[in-house]
Amino acid sequence: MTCAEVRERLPDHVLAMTPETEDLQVRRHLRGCAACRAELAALREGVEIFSVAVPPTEPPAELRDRVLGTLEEEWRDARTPSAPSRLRAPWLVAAAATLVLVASVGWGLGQARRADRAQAGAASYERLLSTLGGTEFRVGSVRGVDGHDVRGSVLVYESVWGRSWGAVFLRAPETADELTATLTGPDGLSLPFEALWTKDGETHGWLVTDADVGAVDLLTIRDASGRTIATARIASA
Amino acid sequence: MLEPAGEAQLMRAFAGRDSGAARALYERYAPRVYGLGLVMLGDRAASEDLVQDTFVKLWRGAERFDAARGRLDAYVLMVARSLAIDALRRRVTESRSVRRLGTPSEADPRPGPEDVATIGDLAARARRAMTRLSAEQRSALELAYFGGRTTAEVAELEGIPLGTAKTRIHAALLRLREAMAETEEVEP
Repeated sequence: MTCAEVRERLPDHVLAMTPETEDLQVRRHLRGCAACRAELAALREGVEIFSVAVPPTEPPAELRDRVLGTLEEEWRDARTPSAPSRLRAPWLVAAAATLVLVASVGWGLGQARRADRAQAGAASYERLLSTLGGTEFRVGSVRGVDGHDVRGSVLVYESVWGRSWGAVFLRAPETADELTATLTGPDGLSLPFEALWTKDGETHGWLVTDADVGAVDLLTIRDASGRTIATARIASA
Repeated sequence: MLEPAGEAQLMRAFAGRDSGAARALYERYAPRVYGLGLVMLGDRAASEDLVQDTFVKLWRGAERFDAARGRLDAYVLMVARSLAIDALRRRVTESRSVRRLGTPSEADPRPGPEDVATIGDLAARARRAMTRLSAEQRSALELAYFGGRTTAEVAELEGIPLGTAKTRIHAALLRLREAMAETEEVEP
């Protein structure tokens, strides 16, 4: 995305009205462009001024007790006294994310069964992982090519801890082969999944990498002979 | 107004379930959020829900507040606005625009002047800055901010080209910033 394209989108971006896929591209550009960040800062200042211009209105007195009571309830329901801060430790987040990935395999395969809803499934997964420090999630629907019956979903995301993750869930009932999965992007970027596990026609796998997965735009599934049997387009960042 | 360090401290205490911090935040921001709710949602019950939901959400994200990235009042209002937009989108049958906000019904009472609390200096200056916007700029910005409309929707509602809608909002935000800076120079 060019500076001109980003600046055209900044009014919507600063008012949080940009569609997520488009907003990813804007954020990516902003991270590497000081001039556009300065423009954004100026617009953001304008929004802040606009927001404080709204006349304050004293709410009903009883609302105070209701809100503070709700907060007390919220605090009581939280599992541990320090629950919000427990996810701050990077190692714990990574461990928790791993646990979630492992524990969610069954869930993911369930989503693969309903492969026509793969996008929605990956979106649910995204919400789950976002609580663990994941950010900039992107998803794609896996579809078979050349008549291969393969369906599923792929999710890639970066985390606030500097690692990138990928997860793939497939259903390939007619394929007994050991499958491989590779994420690719422009400029020769290629990130193979370390391994895929297959049982009863259902396959899953994930990768953890230091590479930036933001530019990845394609997942390719190959059979044992190296033939491409399925692909997924991932919204470009 | 608290300094950024004070705001960060307040949010840390809130994250740690300090009921004193919760009360302090409520006293400071509930009228602002309630006022925003009345403007965006147009009725008291929905505005009360907005206040409650905002404080719950603020607590859930209290540890993520970064004072270096902006003022707490702007953060609180951003959270509230986001929730209000969600509420607006849930109103399937509604196709309101900010223009209609000025004609409240009896069943949907708006706050009278007696309801309006003492206006802080910052808010007063911000409102003075608002007067520097053209009617077109202000209308476009109100639709986008209060109505939760995209620039494309603003263009459609206003009957103007998309580029014009974007330009109006962009220019309005920059104009506000300039006008606010001018009031700082004029006033001690």
